[in-house]
Amino acid sequence: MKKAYFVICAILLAGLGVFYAFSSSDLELKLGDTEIKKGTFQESLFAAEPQRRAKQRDVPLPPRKKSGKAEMDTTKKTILFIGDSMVECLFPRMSAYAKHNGHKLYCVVWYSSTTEVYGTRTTLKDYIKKYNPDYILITLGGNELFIRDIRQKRQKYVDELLRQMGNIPFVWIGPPNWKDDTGINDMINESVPPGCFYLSYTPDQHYERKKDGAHPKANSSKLWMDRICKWIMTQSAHPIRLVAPPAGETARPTKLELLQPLR
Amino acid sequence: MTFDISTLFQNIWSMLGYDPNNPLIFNSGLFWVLFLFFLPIYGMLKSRRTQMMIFVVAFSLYFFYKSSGLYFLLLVATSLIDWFIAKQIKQEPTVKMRRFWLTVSIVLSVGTLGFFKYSNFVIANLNDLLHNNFQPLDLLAPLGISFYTFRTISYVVDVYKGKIEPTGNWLDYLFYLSFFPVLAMGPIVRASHFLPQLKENKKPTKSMVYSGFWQALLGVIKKAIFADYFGQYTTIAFGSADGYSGFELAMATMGFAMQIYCDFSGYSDMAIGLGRMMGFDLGINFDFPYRSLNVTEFWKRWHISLSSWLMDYVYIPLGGNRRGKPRQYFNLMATMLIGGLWHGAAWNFVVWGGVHGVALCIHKMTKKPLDRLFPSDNKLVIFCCWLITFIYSAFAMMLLTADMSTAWTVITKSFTDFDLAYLVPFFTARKMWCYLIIIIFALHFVPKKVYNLLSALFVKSHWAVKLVVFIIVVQLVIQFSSEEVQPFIYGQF
Repeated sequence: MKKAYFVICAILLAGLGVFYAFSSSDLELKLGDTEIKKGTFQESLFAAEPQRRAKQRDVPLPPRKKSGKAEMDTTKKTILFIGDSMVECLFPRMSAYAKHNGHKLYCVVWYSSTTEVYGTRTTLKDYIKKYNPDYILITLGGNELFIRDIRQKRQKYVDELLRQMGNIPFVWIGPPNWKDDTGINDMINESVPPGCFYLSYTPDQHYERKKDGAHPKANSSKLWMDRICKWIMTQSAHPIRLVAPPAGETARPTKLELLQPLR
Repeated sequence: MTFDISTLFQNIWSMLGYDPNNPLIFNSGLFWVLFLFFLPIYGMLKSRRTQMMIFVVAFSLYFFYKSSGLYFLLLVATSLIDWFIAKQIKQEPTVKMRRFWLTVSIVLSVGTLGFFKYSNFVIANLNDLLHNNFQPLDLLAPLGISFYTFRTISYVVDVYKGKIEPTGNWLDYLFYLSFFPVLAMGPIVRASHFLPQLKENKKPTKSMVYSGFWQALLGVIKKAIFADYFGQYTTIAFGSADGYSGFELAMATMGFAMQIYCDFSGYSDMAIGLGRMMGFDLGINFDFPYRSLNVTEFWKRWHISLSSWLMDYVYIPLGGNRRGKPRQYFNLMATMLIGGLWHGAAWNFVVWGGVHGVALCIHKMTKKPLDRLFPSDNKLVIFCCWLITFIYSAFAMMLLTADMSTAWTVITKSFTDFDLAYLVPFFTARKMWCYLIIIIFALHFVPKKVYNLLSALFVKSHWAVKLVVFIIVVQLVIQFSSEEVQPFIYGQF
């Protein structure tokens, strides 16, 4: 028995050592196309992060500029376009905009994600750290259109995402509803500073849907992105140069990351 | 990153302290680090029974404290009271007094459980009924109260019935009631099964230790890889059921059935594995439930320790099948409704119990005529029985997570808005999810001897092989896991 216990302890200790060493090294391992993830062993022990995260909810939101007739920032931007599967609809056209206007565009599509999925994780913050964007486009809410007591259930996650974005200028693209929601659009609109929310559900916006009934078809997605970009240039709190490229112009984003649903 | 010793101590202190949001669950790194310290000390003390018991009880109470704070004193008090009552029952010469003590024990146990678990449910229903505004109580149900209450009831009842002798000293009973592998979420191991093993205090064999470790690793895989992965889709789909098609909701329902199986049987595997590593046989709690061909069989394979408890301490005392058919159906319904209410203080749990009760009654009523009508060795008949049982149990399981209106939406849309055209887009968007569902289904139909063979191979393997297996499992968990460890579903019950 004692020998068996010794072996088990040795295995646990050796395993812990391996994962600790891996998590604290700069080594990046891949298996085919799959990145071997690191655990948080080292961070859990030595980072002051846990305490900061625990207290994070009491930290006030970062101050933002008031909207108004803000001057357009014509410099080339590094844009992080992140959110749920709606990003997949929008990024092809947005890539053309980025190319046409000289911006870098990093896209992260997390299928089936929600404000809760992002808001209970540091994924957004991690991508901000990874790509160091100076402009963020975020689209979330399409999977939360019909949740009851939405403010009670989701407000904290929206606030958390705003905290994670800090002072980086952003535009939150509201979901393109196919019918009335239970308040997600209002909630996000009231949570973000003026000029940072694009409402995609207005009487003058009609998008043809794919078979799932939710996602706009390719042509409609183009129109949607065109409207968003025009709005960013003319009405948002942080206008940047997004001159429309020719209709047929295509481009790829600087990098596209697809996150599988449910992770 | 700097290696600040004070930060290290601060982090360790904050990890070890009372935190109701972070219980010491078996698939967390913290538990295994603590177990690394626990195991050698346990090994050293094993032959010195009293010292070993004091050590394990202290660890178990800490395990309880970590998530429930000072409520661990409630567990201590429960064990003391029921140990005392069991001794009284044994000593009392008259049936009347023995029955009195039994009643006191059951009232106290059920009363405590009812207070912590059902007070706010009662208040909410009273408010609805009387249009009143009684304020809900600020209560946090102590860890595993539903499980240890059933264990302590079974001990006292078994002593009353003369099936077992009361323990000679309180420490034995506290050890049984607080034993950390089964404390939070079972299995609801009976005193009659556990206490003789404690008395004997056999040293675990090498084979027990390694096969226990193997089973615990399997449990980690089920919970941290499969259940948590399935869970994120079901959470989203059931969270906004109106926005999903019937096909997607049916998939979510099947996903939840698999999720709750992997979640709870994974936990049970970890608990049973840890128990075996310590030299205790805790029985089995799941026996491939989705292989079942009817609901009665399902309940012989699903949460076996609960279903057998309900059978022995509710169904049979109510009269079982000894008082005619109508009474049997009533007893079945009552038992399953109690079982449903045990799972949680909400109407969906009661309905869940009722739905299973109805199914059991229908099965009992129709078994004989159906057996005559359809040959039981016909493969098509077997397949249809399996399919009906699976679909029924999957939709019933959904009631354990969805409120009544969501459940109704899911059921109606699944049957009125089901379009197979969604299959390909669904598979394309959720390949990994589909693969994992297929794997879990397939694993259900692998013969048991294959699992036994794998376990035997692991037991006999070189330590280096075991280490590699351990590292692969942990890496898979990291690879698949969300950044926050998901709580166990049954921990909420």
